[in-house]
Amino acid sequence: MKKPFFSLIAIVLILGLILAGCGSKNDAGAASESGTPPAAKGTESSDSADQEPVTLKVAFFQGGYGDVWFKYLKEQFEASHKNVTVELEGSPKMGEIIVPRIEGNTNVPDVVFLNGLDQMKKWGPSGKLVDISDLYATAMPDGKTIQDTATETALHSQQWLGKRYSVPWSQSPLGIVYNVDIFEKNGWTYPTTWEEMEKLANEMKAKGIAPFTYPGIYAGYLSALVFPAYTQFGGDEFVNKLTNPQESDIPDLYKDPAFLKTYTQLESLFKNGWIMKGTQALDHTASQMEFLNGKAAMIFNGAWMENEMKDSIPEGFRMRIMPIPPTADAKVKEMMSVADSRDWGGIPSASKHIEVAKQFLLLASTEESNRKFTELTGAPRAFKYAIDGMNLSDFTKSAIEMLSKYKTVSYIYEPQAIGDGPSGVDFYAAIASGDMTPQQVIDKNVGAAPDKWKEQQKTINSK
Amino acid sequence: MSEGGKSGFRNKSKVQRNIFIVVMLAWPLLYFAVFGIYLQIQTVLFSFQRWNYVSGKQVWVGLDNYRQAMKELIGGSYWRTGMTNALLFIPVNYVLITLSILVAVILSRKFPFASFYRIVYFFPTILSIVVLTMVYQFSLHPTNGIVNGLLGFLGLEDWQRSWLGERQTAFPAVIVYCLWAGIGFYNVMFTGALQRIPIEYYEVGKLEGITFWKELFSVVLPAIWPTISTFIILGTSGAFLVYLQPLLLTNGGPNHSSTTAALEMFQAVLGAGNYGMAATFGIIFAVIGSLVTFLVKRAVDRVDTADY
Repeated sequence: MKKPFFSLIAIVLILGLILAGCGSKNDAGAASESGTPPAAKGTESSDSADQEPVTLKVAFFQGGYGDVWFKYLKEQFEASHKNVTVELEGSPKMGEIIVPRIEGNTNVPDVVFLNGLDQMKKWGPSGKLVDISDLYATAMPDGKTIQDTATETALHSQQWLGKRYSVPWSQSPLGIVYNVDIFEKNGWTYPTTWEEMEKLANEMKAKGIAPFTYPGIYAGYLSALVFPAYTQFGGDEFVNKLTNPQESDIPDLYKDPAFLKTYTQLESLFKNGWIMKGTQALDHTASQMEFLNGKAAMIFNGAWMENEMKDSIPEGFRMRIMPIPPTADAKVKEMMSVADSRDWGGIPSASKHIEVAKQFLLLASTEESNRKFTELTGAPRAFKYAIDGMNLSDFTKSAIEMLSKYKTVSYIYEPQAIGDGPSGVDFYAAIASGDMTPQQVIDKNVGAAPDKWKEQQKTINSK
Repeated sequence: MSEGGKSGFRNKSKVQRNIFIVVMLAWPLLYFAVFGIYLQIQTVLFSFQRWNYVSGKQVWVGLDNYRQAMKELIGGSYWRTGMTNALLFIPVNYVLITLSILVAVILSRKFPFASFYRIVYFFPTILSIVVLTMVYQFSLHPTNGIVNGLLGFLGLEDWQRSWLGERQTAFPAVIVYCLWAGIGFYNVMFTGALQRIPIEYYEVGKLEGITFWKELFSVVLPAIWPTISTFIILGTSGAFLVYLQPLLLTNGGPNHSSTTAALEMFQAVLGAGNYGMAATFGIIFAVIGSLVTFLVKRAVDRVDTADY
């Protein structure tokens, strides 16, 4: 008799709990429903009454640009769309935490701003992002269109297989940031050729100043040198072949002297002892701190650095960012910098407020928003806009000058391309650590290219 | 009538009992089905697929991923370094266990400040790994770090180096970090096991006049062997899961020399979005890991334990 009695009680208890759970949920729902109208009423009086309240969730990569610009956009958007509440979610790890959410359709935001085009290229064709090609021709609040105002690099980067799933965000140039005080004190000027740079680096070394540093554990920062060098040594023809190769180019493309010259130039930094001692153990913050403390005269870095370090920059510290000077044997003898438009804003298809999200992207792309972005973060956006009358730091001015006055490079690979390292060797790291010579890296790439090409063809042609 | 009513009640209670069982089991079973079975099956399927970014679909590629994986493991890529380093973590975990037992045995003696030292050893365990790695990074900082500072103070300038930035020292530095940060947790486990040993064992030993070492090997170790063997097995299988420590300390560098199998998988998924290869290596390492763990378990089970 006892057992059934107990199980009966247990069932009642469980059912009770379940019902209680439902009940409280209903209550909560009712509460929030009954809670919103008064709040909405206040806004309805100033706006049309038929618009229901919308919460627009905006998730963004909170890196070097911080969150100030998004706070500004929230304010602006809420002011012009009275029924909308913008909910911001920023994280330095957004690029990682958003992946399972978008791919698993859980807790998907209405707008995402991320760095790195790979995810856009993955999510676009698979239907996880809304095709917003039409948005480029839609008039923004200031009457212009994205098509007309975005930079050429941005228009080239922010498309995939003939469609557009994203609007450009920043156009972040990478180059060499130098310590103006060290240069002025020693009567040095920023060199215009690589030979002058070599001379300067040796002079610095002789004086006990480390010429260069960079975020050593993230070897990718060395692309500040490598990408301009590819173009300087190889010219446009080489770059075209690299980014849009045909079967006949494989593997000879990887024997191009531009590779050997570039990698030798990269190796020389380490071989000649121009890189600050201990650099390879430092992350971005630590190496940038060393630079700000005057331990190195120059650092390979990007236009976001000033904003990223704004709490640590010593009073009166002066720095400028400059492009990479060409060598005497370069095909294109121009100073140039990498200026990718690799970060983007898009709309996940799972969003319930796609139209509102489109309005948000349009507002984020107006001239006013672009100017505000530069003013708040010190970095240029991937749009053409005037910067006159703005209160900018010398560093920001130098970054904008680098974009407007000098040649910029950006590598956008076509689907069949197999990149600049088909062997999968992390060649920045291999050369920086001295584990491989430039020739060894090239031999590996030439050897691996045919297989990689076949594999790539198989992958993109498989159904 | 009364009988029928009774059996009716019994039937009813049986139904209710079954409902009760179903309700109680539903949640854990569902949880296991999703996070236990479904994810494993998904991983196996992923290892036979590749991402076609032109069509935006996962496509079946047969054994291509496994062929590629074997090529990379044999050809000596970062994956091989990762696997070698993961295997190296097995003896490292054994050293960690040995050190923890020693510390626990010493701290179990009644000597001044014993409990203070126990807290000192345990303290790293309650701090976040991110904080710990930062502290460790600061102390090994090439120019401002306390380690290089101390070496300079002692006149050993030749020994100063960029500990986390050089191939010879980066991975050993990661290992030292794991020992330093791990000892507290193991220490608490072994202290608990030591306290369960009946005091009579020690007293008999004392009457016989045995030495410290004799006591350690003949009384203490056999008595806590079940705990030790558990941690040996956990330490063996856990070696294949290490990734956060190298990720935060060196990002696997320089030139992937301090990477681990799990870190390479982590970067394959989150860096390159390459689910196929990550799943393939996941399965390969799972097979290697279970094999090694199984062998270790067989060896561990052969040792006799003291019953008490």
